[in-house]
Amino acid sequence: MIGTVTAPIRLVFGQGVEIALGTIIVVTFLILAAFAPFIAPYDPDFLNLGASLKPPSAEHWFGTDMLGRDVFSRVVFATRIDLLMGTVGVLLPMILGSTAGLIAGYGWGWVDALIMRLVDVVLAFPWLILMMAIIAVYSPGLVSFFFAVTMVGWVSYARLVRARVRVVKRADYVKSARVLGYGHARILTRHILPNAMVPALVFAASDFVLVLTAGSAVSYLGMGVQPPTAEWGLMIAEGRNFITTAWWIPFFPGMAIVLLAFGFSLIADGLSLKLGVGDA
Amino acid sequence: MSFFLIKLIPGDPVRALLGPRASQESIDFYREQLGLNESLITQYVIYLGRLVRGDFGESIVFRGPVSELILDRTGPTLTLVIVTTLIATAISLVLAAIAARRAGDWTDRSIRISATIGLGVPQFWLGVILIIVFSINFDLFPVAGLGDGGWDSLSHLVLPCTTLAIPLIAILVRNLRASYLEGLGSEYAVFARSKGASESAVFWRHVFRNSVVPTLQLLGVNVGWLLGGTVVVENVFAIPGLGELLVNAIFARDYFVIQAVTIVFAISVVFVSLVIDVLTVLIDPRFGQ
Repeated sequence: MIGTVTAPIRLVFGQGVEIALGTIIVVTFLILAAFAPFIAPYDPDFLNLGASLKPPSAEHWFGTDMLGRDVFSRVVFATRIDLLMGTVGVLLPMILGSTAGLIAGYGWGWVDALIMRLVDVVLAFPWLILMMAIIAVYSPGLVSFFFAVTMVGWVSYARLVRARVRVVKRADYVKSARVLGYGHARILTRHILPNAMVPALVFAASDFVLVLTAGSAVSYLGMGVQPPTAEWGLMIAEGRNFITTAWWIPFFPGMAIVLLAFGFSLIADGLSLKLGVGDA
Repeated sequence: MSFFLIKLIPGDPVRALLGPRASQESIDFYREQLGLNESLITQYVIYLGRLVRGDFGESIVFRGPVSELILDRTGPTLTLVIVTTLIATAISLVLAAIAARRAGDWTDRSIRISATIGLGVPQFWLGVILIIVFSINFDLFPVAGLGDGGWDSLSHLVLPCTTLAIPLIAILVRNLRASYLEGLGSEYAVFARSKGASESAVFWRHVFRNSVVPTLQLLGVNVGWLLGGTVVVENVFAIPGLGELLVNAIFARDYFVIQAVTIVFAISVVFVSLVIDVLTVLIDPRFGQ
């Protein structure tokens, strides 16, 4: 069955089916986010207590929640905040971690040792728990989440980039750059960095899945995005009190998370297969 | 580290405890008692000294020693983690074996696609959906809590463990399948085949047995992730474990409790990694070199 679905796609895209399918899913969500006001039939925050807890119908595709808000419109608008959460939540740790990994891998024994000890300390904590402890230090919210995810997430990038840098810096083209008399900064940014970033970039695609599920989990627990903002994890939390009567409130936001995460996982798998890095 | 982290939390714990209308005298009295008037370094030294003796301080909300609180809450979390790990490992070994032996056909593909989807299934959502389907629609399993022993407790574990297990199975299956395929293409497999061993004998006697170490290591890498999952799952199913304690403590700003739970989780991760390292060397002495 799956073969019949993927075969035509494979014909068009060759071996990159995963990447193609993943990209289609992700681009669909990007379109939803960009054109949310045109796609969503209702205002996501419009209260209509007379029409609360209505099951899915032609009028309300995904039903309405306890305050009579249209669940479909809220799922569409939430795409914006969840994509932002995932993207920033991947970029900040990637920038910090890659810089740390680059410095650690390039040399200077004690800097390397210091950075790697820090990595070990962070790795000793379960990352969702450390993230929650950091958020507890500040106030709940998106900014605290970004700070926490950066403090916790950089270690993966640091390790990946450091490992690559240690290999790349022995390559002939780096040696020749050194012979040519280029400075450390130029060698690091122009010669080593572009080659050392490949595994980190592939990892970023699967990291998006982690950050998206962690971010929505944090919001679900009440420590992330705050009401009345439409965010998938928060919508699931809001629907919890009505699960005996209104399954549609938590169901659709969750499906959105699963689908978007699936898209990014496919891209990650396709990339690691194509570039021969990581564990497919 | 988690000591300094917690000290950064804004808000006065004593004021939070006594309420907004407490008199200044009683606030001062409690601050003195909790040692909050000392300098940060003095507090830290006192704290470390207590920690070594297993004294985590007093819970501000529960008004009792944190160590007792932790002991009370460890049981449910430990049960959840152990049962989930056993179930997930058993299922993953079988699924990955099926996928690897039929690499490329539709069974392999459906297992792989399900595993890829499983990676991104948020546990808090899966838990809620399982409750809707199995507790509310079919009334098969209880919604929350731990039950009162025997079969009742067991049936209370089914949904939380399933919730926790599904993403773990997804991770394990993907990695185990890859390691099986590597084994099937390896020199020892080729040699076994050349001796005339059947394809299933090659798999079960050689490749499968060689997957013990990778499985252990995978579990070690993911133990932190699994513990993080318990926080979410305990919240969804109202299980009185460490994770639930942590979430409540964060909202109540119960300093010592947040500190203690975070430390206990970190120690568990380090301890499990150590045990797995030792086991790995015992099973395959090549890793000890």
